[in-house]
Amino acid sequence: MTFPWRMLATEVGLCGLGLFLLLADLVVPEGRKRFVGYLALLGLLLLFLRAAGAEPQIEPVLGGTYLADGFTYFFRLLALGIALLVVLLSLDYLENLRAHRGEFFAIVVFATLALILLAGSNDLLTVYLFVEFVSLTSYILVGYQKFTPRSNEASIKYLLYGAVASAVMLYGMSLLYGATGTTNLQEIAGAFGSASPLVKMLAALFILVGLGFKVAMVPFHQWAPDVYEGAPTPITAFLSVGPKAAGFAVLFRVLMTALVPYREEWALLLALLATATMFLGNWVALVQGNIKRMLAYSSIAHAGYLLIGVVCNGPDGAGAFAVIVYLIAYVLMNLGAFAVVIWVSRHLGTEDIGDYAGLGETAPFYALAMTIFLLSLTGVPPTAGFVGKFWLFKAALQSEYWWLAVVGIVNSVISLGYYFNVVRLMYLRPARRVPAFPRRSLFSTAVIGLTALLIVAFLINQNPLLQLAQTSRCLLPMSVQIVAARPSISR
Amino acid sequence: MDEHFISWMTFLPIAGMVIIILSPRRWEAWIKWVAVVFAAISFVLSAWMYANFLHLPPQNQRLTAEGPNPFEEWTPWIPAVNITYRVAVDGLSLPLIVLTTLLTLLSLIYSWDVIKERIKEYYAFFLLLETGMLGVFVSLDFFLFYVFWEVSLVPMYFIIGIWGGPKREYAAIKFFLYTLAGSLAMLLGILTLYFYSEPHTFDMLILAREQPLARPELATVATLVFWGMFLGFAIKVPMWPFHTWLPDAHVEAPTAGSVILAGILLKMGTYGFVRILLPLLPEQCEQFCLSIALLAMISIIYGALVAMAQPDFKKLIAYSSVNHMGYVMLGWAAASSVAVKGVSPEVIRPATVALNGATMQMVAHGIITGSLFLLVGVLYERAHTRMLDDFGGLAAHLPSYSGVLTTASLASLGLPGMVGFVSEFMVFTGSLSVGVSGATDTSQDILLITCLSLLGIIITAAYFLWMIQRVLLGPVKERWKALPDMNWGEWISLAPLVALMISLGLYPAPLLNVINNTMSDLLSRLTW
Repeated sequence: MTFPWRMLATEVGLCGLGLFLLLADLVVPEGRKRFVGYLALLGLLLLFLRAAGAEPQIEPVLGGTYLADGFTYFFRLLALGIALLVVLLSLDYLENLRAHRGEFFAIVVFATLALILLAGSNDLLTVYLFVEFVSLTSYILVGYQKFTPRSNEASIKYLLYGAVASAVMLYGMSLLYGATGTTNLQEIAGAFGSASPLVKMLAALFILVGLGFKVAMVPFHQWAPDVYEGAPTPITAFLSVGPKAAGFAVLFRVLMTALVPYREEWALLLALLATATMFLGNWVALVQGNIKRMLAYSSIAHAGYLLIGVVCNGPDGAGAFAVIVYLIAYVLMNLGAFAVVIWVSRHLGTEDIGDYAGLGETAPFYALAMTIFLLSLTGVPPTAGFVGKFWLFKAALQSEYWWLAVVGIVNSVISLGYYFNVVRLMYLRPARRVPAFPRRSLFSTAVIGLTALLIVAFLINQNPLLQLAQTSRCLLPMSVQIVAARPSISR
Repeated sequence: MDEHFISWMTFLPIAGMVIIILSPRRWEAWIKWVAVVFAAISFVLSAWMYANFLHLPPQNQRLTAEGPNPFEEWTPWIPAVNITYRVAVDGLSLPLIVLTTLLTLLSLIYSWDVIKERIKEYYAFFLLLETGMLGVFVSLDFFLFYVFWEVSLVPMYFIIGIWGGPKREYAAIKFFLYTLAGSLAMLLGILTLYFYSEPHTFDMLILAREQPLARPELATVATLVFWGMFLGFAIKVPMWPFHTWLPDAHVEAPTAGSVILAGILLKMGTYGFVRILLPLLPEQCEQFCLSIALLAMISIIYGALVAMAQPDFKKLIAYSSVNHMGYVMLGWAAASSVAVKGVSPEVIRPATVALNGATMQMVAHGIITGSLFLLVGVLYERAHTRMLDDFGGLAAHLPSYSGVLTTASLASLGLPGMVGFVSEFMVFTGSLSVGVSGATDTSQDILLITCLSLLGIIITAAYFLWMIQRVLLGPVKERWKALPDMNWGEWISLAPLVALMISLGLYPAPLLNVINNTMSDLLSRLTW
């Protein structure tokens, strides 16, 4: 069997880029590490263009363990886009890191690779392997500020929670393997019916634990606020979108392929968990005083909204489609919001929500951009967040989950409370402090401007993105159909 | 330009907003001029449109699903789900559009000297607000409609929150939360309508033609959709018991904000009732018309009684809005009580009169209450108090102010010869005739409710006259002797409204004919 170079060009390229950055870091003198970041930026940009030109294919590769289909195609672009924005944000943040500045970019690139590989996994083994890959790179990145106790604490917490969650998931996978005799997702779907009900239930539950941890779903969310608060802010931004997106990708892969025969049961469970996730995230976010913690709880709530799409995925894939659209919007608005948080902490030296007071007058551009991001997170037009929620609610009504749509709506109204609290402070209150550290923040400003523009443009013309989402989604149910045609894939 | 007339009118304010945002903060005069000029262009465009519309033959003044419609623009927007950019006007939306552009322009002129801080943001938000409001009235696609509906929400939040009174933060967020909750309920209704239509569409006119929910087995769904949308619109109107955001928002908002809030934003709710609920869900409208008539009656009487009890001038006007919007809803409910196929033709005529009155009342209330809020603002700017008991004998010192205030108050209480009389008279004659006709099962109750609502007229007259007595008449108070009379800016912003109040009261035909053509078409389509 020859290695499918052409189809995996992006993955191989990312791996090469990561290694290259490690080597480059040896040559670049301390104090010029920014240059490594530029190299990463260039490499990621080239790979993004390559990934955009790739041809999605339905056939699994590497002995049936990996899929380079439309779904993977979409997540490649999404992950590379996230990586590009995060590297841009990190360039401004670099001075806050005291050591290993060059390797930082290499690890971000490896983390991106892990996200893509996870999204393309088609086998329990690869799923587990790449969940671990994503986690390991995340642990390192969270603890990157080695001399900051908070960062260390966050890293340890993340590691402990993550280790337990993946152990439980691994146990669930072993049950699934024991019951069906295969680790291939599609073959599991074929053999699943004959397993005993108890095994089915336990396996599904345990796997949900592991994946729920990745997407920060209630009740596996407790790590998120501490980790988000302690991690370097660009990494918080990365964690809030990257692993979450990949987590949803693999959630779809596992639930929609392997566990499809068990749909009725997990759909109801997941609907209840989505409700809990939305309410808890939004409710607790209302009382947060630290903006990173607030955005952490808000990201938990957004996992809840996204779960609506997983629950309400009908045979036409409307839910998957909604999730994909929502993910695009979510990445833009959340990264944008974090970019403003980085800017404010660089210029005001604070992460306290109260210190955002008067920003509308002292920093009108950033306040306006933040308002757009927060409006979008609330889901108010004319923003991308509204478009995302529109598709999610549409999917919910389509599969007759009325109550879930109503829950989503009630939560959108609740979320207005804390998102607009920030807007209220920025515009309705006088400034508490003036920018104390005038610094050049070219890159975060660029990210802020770009994401804000895209968020509004998204509503005006969303057709290209809808087409992208359409192609990625259509290939998903088809991967189920192949199984029917070819019951076993030769090893 | 000719083909994209509505788009130009709707989006020009946004262009003005962009120019203002890009201008330096200290160019204050330039910013004001940009805002006023862009608002003026929009007004001229809408007035030109109205003048042209008047000359259309009646059969071309209505909206049809197939088109072509007056000034229509119709292009695909998001083809994947059949969302189109479809805008057009008819006799329902056009008067409200002209009202919007006029009141925005006058509010901006009034604000010229009144708003002294954060001028750049103020004018930028106001222009964004104008686009949002105009968009609501021109959209014929639900997606587009919803986007504009929400767009108009955000700038109003800031206008109340930044330039408002002492309790502005509370009032602003209350306004936002109430409206957002209502509009999300409406969104669910819209999506449901979409799923039951075949082929799926968000086009209001096509949905009205196809009647996707008009099947007996879908009665429950239709009822849910009806109440979902009802919530969205009723909060905006606002009908009792959803009105509690209104006194806070109106009182705390800066004068120009109150003018727009009372003059236009409330009309978005009643517009929704006439444009969306009645044609799309006529059966449910007919079925629930009594409950809505009852709520309208409570709004009328309760609003009037609470207005009478207010010691604060601005709060009095705010509650008078609850009262006056109740007339609109009463007329609407009376008209929808006959919205069944095969109803006797004799009753359609009075129902049309009631609906004409309701629509006319939207315009009349916009003109009258807009000017009343301006007048409260004029007084507050000088006296820095709004308590009615603090004033007295102002007529002796402020002749022109007193003249305008008296005119506007008399118009508001429905004095014959003023625009308020025409609309209220039509609402009541229409509703009473529907009630007396006995054409449907609900006629008796409509009659009873209408008769009780007549009480509202008397209470309205009472509180307005009592207000005039306390503010303008009586012994002259020493502390108000130095108050200056109205200045040129205030005159410019008030004179057109006073002129409209009187001229439309004496000769309502240019407005009424346009409305009547559309309303009789609407009702004839529902009853045939």
